[in-house]
Amino acid sequence: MKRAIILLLFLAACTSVSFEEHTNAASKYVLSNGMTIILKENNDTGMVAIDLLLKKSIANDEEKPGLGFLTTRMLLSGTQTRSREDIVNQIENIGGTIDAKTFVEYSEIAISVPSDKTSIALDILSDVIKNPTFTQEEVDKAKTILIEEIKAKKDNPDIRTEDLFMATIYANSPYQHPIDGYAETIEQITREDVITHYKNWFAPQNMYLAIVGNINEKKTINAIKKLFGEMQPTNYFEKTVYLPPRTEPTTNTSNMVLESFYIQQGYQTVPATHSDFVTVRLANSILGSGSGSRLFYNLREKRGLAYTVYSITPSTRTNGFIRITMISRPDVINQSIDGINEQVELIKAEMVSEDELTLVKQKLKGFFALDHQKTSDQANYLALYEMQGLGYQYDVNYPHLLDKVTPSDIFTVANKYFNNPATAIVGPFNQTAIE
Amino acid sequence: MRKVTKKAPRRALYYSILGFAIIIIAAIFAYQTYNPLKDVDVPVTLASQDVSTTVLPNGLTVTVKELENSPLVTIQFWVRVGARNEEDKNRGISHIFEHVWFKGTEKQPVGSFHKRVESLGGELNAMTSFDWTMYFVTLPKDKFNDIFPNMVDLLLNPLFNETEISKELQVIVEEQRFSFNNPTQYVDDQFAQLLITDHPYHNPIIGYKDTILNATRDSIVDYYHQWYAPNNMNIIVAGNIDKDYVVNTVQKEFANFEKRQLPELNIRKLEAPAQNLYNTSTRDIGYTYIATGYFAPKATDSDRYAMQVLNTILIAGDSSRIERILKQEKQLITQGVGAYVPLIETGVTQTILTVEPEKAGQAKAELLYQMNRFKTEEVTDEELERAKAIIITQRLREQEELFQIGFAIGQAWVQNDSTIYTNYIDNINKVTKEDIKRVANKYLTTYTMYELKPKL
Repeated sequence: MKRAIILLLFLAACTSVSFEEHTNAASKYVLSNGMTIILKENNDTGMVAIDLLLKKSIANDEEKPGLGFLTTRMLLSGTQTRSREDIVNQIENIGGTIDAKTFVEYSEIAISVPSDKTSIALDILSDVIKNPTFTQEEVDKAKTILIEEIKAKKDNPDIRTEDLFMATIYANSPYQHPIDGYAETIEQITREDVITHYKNWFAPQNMYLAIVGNINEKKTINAIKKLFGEMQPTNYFEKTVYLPPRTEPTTNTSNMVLESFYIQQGYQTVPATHSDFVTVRLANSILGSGSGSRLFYNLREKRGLAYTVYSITPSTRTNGFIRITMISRPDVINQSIDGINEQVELIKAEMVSEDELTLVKQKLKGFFALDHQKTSDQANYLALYEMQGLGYQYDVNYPHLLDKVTPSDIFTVANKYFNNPATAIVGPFNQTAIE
Repeated sequence: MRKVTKKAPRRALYYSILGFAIIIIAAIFAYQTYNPLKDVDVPVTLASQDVSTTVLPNGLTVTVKELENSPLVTIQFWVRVGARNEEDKNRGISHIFEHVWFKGTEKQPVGSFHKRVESLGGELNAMTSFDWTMYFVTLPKDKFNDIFPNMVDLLLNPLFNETEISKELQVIVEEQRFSFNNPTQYVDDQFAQLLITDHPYHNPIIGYKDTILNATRDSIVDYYHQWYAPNNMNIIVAGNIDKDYVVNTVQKEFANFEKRQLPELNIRKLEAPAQNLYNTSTRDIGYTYIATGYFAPKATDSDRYAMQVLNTILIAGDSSRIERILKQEKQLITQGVGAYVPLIETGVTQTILTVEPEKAGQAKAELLYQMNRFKTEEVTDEELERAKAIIITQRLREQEELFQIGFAIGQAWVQNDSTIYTNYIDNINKVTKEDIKRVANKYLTTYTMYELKPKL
């Protein structure tokens, strides 16, 4: 009996963990096949959030934009033992949710279930990742539905503006296409394309799995080893394309029958792993994050030019951007665009005060706590930072990095990056001329 | 003897190899069949749904939900006033005052409150609905004292600065334009106006362009004095904070806020339209947007739980009838969204479909057929149990966010029925298949439909 137990342990070690680390941020494991797992116990909740990120980008769609989006979505279209309906019914029968989404630089399967049903969720997750069938019938159906969704985007000013902005800021790069592709490219995708894309990219070396919530860490990692340990790695690794600096301002416009103009203006910045990134985040926060920001105060509170005005800086592996969004009425459209430019020029011309910087640091630190209430958000941050090369511990270190930034850092970074804007405007151009 | 001793080790070796092999095979087999999955589940303990409510001598309600492990606290000011309380000439004034609330006091110039909340690491916002208006700040638990007096100051001493008001009205008109820009929002508004007539709920919460721009300082001040009375408010605090401390602080800060007689409302009783109602318009768009709906149980009606389960079976999640049948199986729609909204005077249940123009006829027919099925056949056991699991798990998910906890408590208070919060899960669990069929027959009678089509 003793020998049997030793053997069991030995065999268990075969699909082994090649790296293990326990910190106050979470625990990290890397399986011998390259899959990364981040676990965090939080027994205050009755929920478990499971977030699997796949490191790959829309650049990997190559000449068929939308291929990664379609393939990822189709993971939920059926496996060797479960139909599409089985998958959704089994998850929703336990009150859970399952989503398969694609972003510019990763794909994601996110599951949220009550903690007494975690086993069902993990079983389904491993099944959809390992055994999708991509039947011809389901491929055809998924294509038809996606093409319709792409066409329907034309009526939505928010999505149209965002797609136009991405095409402008990332023009001539592999990241310029809409994540979900174009009707024409989706039309051309074959079942073989989907299967090849799946086989190449949906492999353990590209997988980052975070599980947060009411779990038992040891028992969870044992189950994961068993479920995912036998997956074989492939030779497909995402190679981030870094972009040359933009050399001139560019603007794209699109006519749409609306009562407002939707404006997005952005500046190319740095990858999240760059040492300037935290400073860029702070500069963005001063400029446009929250109702205490300069854009909100000056353009909305003081001048009443808009209801919506804010800015964001997503964290990216390639060069990121700061993006200002404003929705403005036709009679003040020119003042609105000028107002945005004035605020950007001001942060480049005058050094921000110590007081304002301190306030913004406190704001970002507070936002951090607010933004970590949900287990699903906690899981997403851990997996995302790990995948982006910042490391999952960035999730707890980030607030401390803010402390080091000085007003002159903000000044330098603003002057270095806030140049040559990319601007996208959607609105009633047929009725109103913009100077 | 010797022979035996000679042979014995060999035999022993055989046996031991054999035994070893059996153990290996058994071990491999054991590992192959060993299922570590069965050990990962952890029982769910549902947090207590109790709340502590105190009514102060001036009629002000204070509700505290103590949550020991949260690093945060949410402070929510709820007022039982919204579009429901407005008159024709003042449509949108509840929402206008919500904006004016942030426009400063003698002690707090415009913008300073926002900055203060953010410097404390908090977030703030406000919302206006048909039946209520609410203002909230969520921030680190030890910062309660740093912001609560400022919130009280904004509430009791608004400046009503004329210049600020006129600027803000422009901002609100800009917000109002979204309802046109977004086709889904547009058909939603048009549908409500078709379903409900001669009643405050007929109008969009935000009002109309002319009623917004015609709002005057005096009309806003009057409105505020009429409805912002302690006996019409609840101060809800949820988080890591002591309830007696909160009650004492609220009592102190609102000591001079005097009870007032609230105006009487004469709102007509709503009844389902005698026949189906339909209206349509066109616009320069590519798709067709169809809003369809019915009157439904009002918030205090015990049938609300059955209606919520029905609505979940209809449209919540990928296993819902609309997603499964209309989108995946028959491919008649591009998107389907829907909601059951229980209010003081009535409830409304509705769906909004995004449809390829040539499929609109079929999509409408299929939707109405699916609605009718709730009246003629019982839902399946699986559907019923699944819908309950979806609703209850959603509740569990919301418990992770302080704002959501305060929000659910506030929604129940607005209806004067705390059991909507405290007994929610029990009430959902009690719903039967017969309840759903009965409620469907009672409410899904005449439908109202608004269709926005592409211009030819």
